Amino acid sequence: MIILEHRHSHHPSRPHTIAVFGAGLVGGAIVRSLIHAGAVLASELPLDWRSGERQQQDLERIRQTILPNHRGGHLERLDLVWAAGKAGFGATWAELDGEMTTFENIIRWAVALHGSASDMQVNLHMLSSAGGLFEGQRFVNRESQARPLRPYGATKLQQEIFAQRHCTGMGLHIYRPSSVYGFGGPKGRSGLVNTLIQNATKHAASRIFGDMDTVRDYILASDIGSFVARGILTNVTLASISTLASGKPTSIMEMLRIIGRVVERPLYLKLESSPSNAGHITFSPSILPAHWRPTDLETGVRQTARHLGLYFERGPEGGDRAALFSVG
Amino acid sequence: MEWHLTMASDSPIFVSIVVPVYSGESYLRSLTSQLDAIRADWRQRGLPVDLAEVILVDDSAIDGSPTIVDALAGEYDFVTALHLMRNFGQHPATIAGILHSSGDWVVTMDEDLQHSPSDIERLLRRAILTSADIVYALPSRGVHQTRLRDWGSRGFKKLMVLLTGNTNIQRFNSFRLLRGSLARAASSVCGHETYFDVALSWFTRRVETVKVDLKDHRFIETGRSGYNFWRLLTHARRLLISSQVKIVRLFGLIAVATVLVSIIGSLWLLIERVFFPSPTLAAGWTSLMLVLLFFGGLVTFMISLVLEYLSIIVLATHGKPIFFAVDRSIDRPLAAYFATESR
Repeated sequence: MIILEHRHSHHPSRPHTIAVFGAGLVGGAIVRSLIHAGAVLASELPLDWRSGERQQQDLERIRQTILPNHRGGHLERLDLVWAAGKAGFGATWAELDGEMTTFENIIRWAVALHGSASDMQVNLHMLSSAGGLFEGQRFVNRESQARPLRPYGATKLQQEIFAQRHCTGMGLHIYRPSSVYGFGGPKGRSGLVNTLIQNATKHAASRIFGDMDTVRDYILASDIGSFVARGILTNVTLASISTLASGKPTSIMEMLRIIGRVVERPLYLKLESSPSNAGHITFSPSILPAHWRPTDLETGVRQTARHLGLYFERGPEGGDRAALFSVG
Repeated sequence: MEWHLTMASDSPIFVSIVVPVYSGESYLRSLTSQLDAIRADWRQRGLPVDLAEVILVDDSAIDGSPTIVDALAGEYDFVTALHLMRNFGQHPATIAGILHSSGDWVVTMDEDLQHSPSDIERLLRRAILTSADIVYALPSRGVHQTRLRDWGSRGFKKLMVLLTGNTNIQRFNSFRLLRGSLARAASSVCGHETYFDVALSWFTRRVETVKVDLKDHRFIETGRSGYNFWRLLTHARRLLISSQVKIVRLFGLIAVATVLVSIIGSLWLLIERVFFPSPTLAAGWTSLMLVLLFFGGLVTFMISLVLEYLSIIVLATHGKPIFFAVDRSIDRPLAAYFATESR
């Protein structure tokens, strides 16, 4: 996990600490946006997911890193960002068990942290999944009910409910992004867009799970990063739940055409007939937050291809963690 | 905990309406309220189909339409406003709207009430009962109510059929019902110069028509129409560019025939010279003609071959697909409903 500090220009003596759990595709984008907005990378600490005992030790170390600032009478606000997740859309209950346990431990830890310094404003920013919650639903609007169809979505819903139950007295902001794409470094999970771009570059075949007409909603990770960072660093009023979607349905066919245009290479495809990932998920524009301005899909794909291309050219030595969080 | 992976099967069939807007300030409110009435009627009658969204595509309209489009999007939660940066034209605006839709069926219609929303159900019924993928509205009589203009429109379509060999051109109409998957796929492959309806015919041959009473109210009332001679020429050009032009093949055949005639003529001349020698008045004239015929035919054939290759490349660039799979099983609930209703 990553700890950042931000000093507002009008209150330089009162630092604002932000702790980000998970620095993958979305978490990394949030960290980059925070740094871009003036936050400083303070420290990077490990968090064990396998052993409960080691996890508690790691959390205690994180608490000790954060709290001295407060004891010094400076820290007024702490924002915790949960953007971690080890299991993907097709994960089983067994694979998701560890994630749920870690999430519960961190929420309990955050509640205890808030209890030990009740004069400090603590906010939890939780990244959930609109795709998991509304899988198989189209025209999702404010009245739509979350009806997960698989363990991944059900776990996300359980996490939301758990956070709402336990985070009393804390500010809780839940973000529900749709299908996220963008450059997230070498370790992160590779989604449809990244896989297609990378395979086209390597002249390798891509396996498509779903029909050519499977309609989804795609958003760029950096858009989420900017939105969440603005919510953390400015006094903009955030809704308790923000659905971060583009409001523009995109079929696999359209996505393939866009990527083909961007990479200017043939896309070799293998279509998997398995219907398990063929459900449509689309969102009505009326559900989108007021200050949310998603990037146009083709522009986003071009940006992603450029970042992937640069990483491909520079190789692993040019893509170390420091570089991943660098701005520009 | 046990969890069964199931797909949502209780959702109705969704219909999206796409309306390109250019100068529709006088009609948009009425059109939206008529569509809202249809939506309410379907729900009341328990049709397993939902008019889920109306996408109003402001194609840099020249009147007060953009403000009305935004106002309607605020008033009706099923209306989506989409503003294009400049005037791209009716087809690109339609394509943009379709690419923002996610319905199982997509209806495209004009802004000026030339196409009555009450006919949408008839188009849908025809599509479901005949397992069609496209249903065009066919004017039951003259749209403009002036013979010259209506004959001009029909004559133009017949000429295009002759030049391209695509008989569907006679059915082309901007009031159409399209299977959602097909509409989005065809829209995805359309380039700047692709004629949208030609792109649709690359995907399916299941095209039906329904005769409806179409009237160009704007032309009848004001004498103004969205079409003029230059627009018609642009349409013709795009139709020809998007289609595999039949006339190129005709030239190829003529060229082959010319080469064959020249070869037969040469043989005949040779036989005549060897077996039936006779004094000629103009020596070399026939040979010269045969040589010209041979090489003329050969060059024409090569040009038609190059044009045919070019046409294949252009169509591939336009995105003509090798194949496209379809799932028509989604129509079943509606087919069952229509069958029950007709009993």
